[in-house]
Amino acid sequence: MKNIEINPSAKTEELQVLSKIDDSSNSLKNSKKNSDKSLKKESKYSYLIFISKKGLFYFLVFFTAISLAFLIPRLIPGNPLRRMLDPPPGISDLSAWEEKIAELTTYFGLDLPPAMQYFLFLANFFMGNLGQSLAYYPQYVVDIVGARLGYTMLLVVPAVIVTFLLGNWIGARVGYQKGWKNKLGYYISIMLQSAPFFWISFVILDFTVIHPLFSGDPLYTWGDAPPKLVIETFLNANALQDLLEHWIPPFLVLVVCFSGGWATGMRSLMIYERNSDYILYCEKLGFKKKKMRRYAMRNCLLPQMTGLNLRFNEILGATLITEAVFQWPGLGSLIVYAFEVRDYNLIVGAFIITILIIVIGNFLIDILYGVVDPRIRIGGGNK
Amino acid sequence: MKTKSLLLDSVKLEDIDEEDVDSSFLSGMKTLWNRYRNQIIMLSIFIIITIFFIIITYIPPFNDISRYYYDIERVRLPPSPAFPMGTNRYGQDNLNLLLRGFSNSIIFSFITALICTGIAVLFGVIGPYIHWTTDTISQFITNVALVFPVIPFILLLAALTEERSIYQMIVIIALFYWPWAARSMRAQVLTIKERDYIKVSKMSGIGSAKVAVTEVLPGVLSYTFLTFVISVAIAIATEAGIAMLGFGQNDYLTLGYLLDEVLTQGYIITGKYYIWIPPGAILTLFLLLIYALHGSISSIFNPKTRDIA
Repeated sequence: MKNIEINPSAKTEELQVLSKIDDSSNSLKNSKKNSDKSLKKESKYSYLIFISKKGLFYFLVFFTAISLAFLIPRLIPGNPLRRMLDPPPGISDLSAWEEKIAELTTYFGLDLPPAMQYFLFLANFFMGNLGQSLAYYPQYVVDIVGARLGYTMLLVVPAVIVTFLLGNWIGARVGYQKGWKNKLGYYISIMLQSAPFFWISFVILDFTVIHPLFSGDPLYTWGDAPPKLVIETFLNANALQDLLEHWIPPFLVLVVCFSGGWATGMRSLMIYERNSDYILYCEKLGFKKKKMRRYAMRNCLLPQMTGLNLRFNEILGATLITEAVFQWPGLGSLIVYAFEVRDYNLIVGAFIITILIIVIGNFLIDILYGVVDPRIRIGGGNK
Repeated sequence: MKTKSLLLDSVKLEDIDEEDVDSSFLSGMKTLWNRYRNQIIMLSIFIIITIFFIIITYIPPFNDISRYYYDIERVRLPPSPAFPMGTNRYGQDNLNLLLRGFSNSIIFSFITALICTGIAVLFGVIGPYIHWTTDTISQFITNVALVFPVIPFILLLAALTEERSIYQMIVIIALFYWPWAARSMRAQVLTIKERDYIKVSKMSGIGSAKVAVTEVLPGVLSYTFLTFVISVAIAIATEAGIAMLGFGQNDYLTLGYLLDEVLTQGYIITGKYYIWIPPGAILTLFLLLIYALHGSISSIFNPKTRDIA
């Protein structure tokens, strides 16, 4: 610990690390003083506090976001119905149209006082009612969005996991190399990081779907009727193959474009870790390179996990756009469709569900972080 | 202030022989060049390319206004010497559109990145420094903005407004893409806060807001510059991604609009590579340049990565 070389700028980061280590060792000492029973109690308690704090925070975020979803359409001047429903073309007498607008205004409750509207909005939301879609008229927004939700999750969840593992694996390998291999890996991962996913999706769309390199025919097999995401689809070999053929190109886009960020971060962490005392000691003892790399990688994974929230949000946003390029029937293409037909209820509904995914996903990631990092689980070391 | 100069004087007197100190301007530049050669080269390439693409739209073959006009005679022409990238469905020259869109995108991203960096400094440097209450507040705002679903929000906002101006886009992107920077700035500020020279300037009775600006901010200035550079990349890419779906502004031509045309006109399906490859390729190269610049500059601050990248 004592002979860590202190560079003027590296100092700050090392100081942080050192202070963290001090914190944790202090808390360990303190907890050792206590009896085992009280330790157990305290640990359970602190983790619960951590979870409930996070839960409260995300509830606040969610509440702010849905309040914005309520507020923004109403802050934009003019009746939203007038914006959505064009007057019939070529008719000078618009009284019938005005009458229809007035009728719909009453039907959607847009003439009620704002506080009442807000209350109704929240009450409806918590009863799971997001209104009816205009484009698919008698259907409820919840049902439409619910049918599309599975497709989005089918892309997002594997993409987050695979990019995390793949990017960190590449970064760890590259960061532990010395010389030209490190440099080459660095430039490749920077190239991946900087590739704009929406344009890469054009490229991948071109050579996997429209002018396929591997099979002859373009993939237009779904049309308007994508397979339903039920167990039968996954058990039936043909249906599964069909699903996978459509799933791979957008998934490929996400993996290609979002692994690079992890890799560059991991690489610089590994370079720091490579020069740390225990690795140098292991080197002197003659440990295998693979083993030392694994030790170093474990220490680097924890700081990397703090970036998982940010990446999750990024990947979800990217998925919405990628879906629209590939016509993957998820939330993104639903939002684009609702935008084209100006289905206001559907847009707001899809937005709220997207926020819900983000909030729940972030909450789960935070809980996971608590599970992985014992300092949060046991208590102490909370900054 | 006085203590600082006193300290410097004492160092000079004790440790440095006069022969070692060559204070001429030229030798100073030489050391600078030797030490930061890569960074200087990257930065100048970045500046030159940026200026080149901004002014190229004002230089003769590309400032021809008539090439933006609707012309039924030259609709959807294939590439030719007169129109190297062909023309679009309105008969506009694709190359001119590309250059104009790219320079507009650069200007847009620079303005957005400036605002973004300003907000990051406000919530990452000044907020955390002044008082613990402002620190808590700014940290809370940062945390909320960090998990706020930006792209869905922009899609919602775009879907609800018919006329969207570029200012709306600047404000939205600038309002939501600063938290990552504010967070890491805060970590830096908290360590700087404990240093001696800050305590000295506090004791000398300077107001804490002034100390934050004059003493703490220079300490994170390098980081602020990095934030600015990355914000340029984020702004240009985010705008292009949103405008690509047709959710962008309708009064300002950017790369995103060109990509939107690719999707709506089916240029990929018809195999018109000469239209859809250049906008993305130029954007990719620009982003690559920014990230390479970021990497080379950040290696100044992380000396351990210096010998490798």
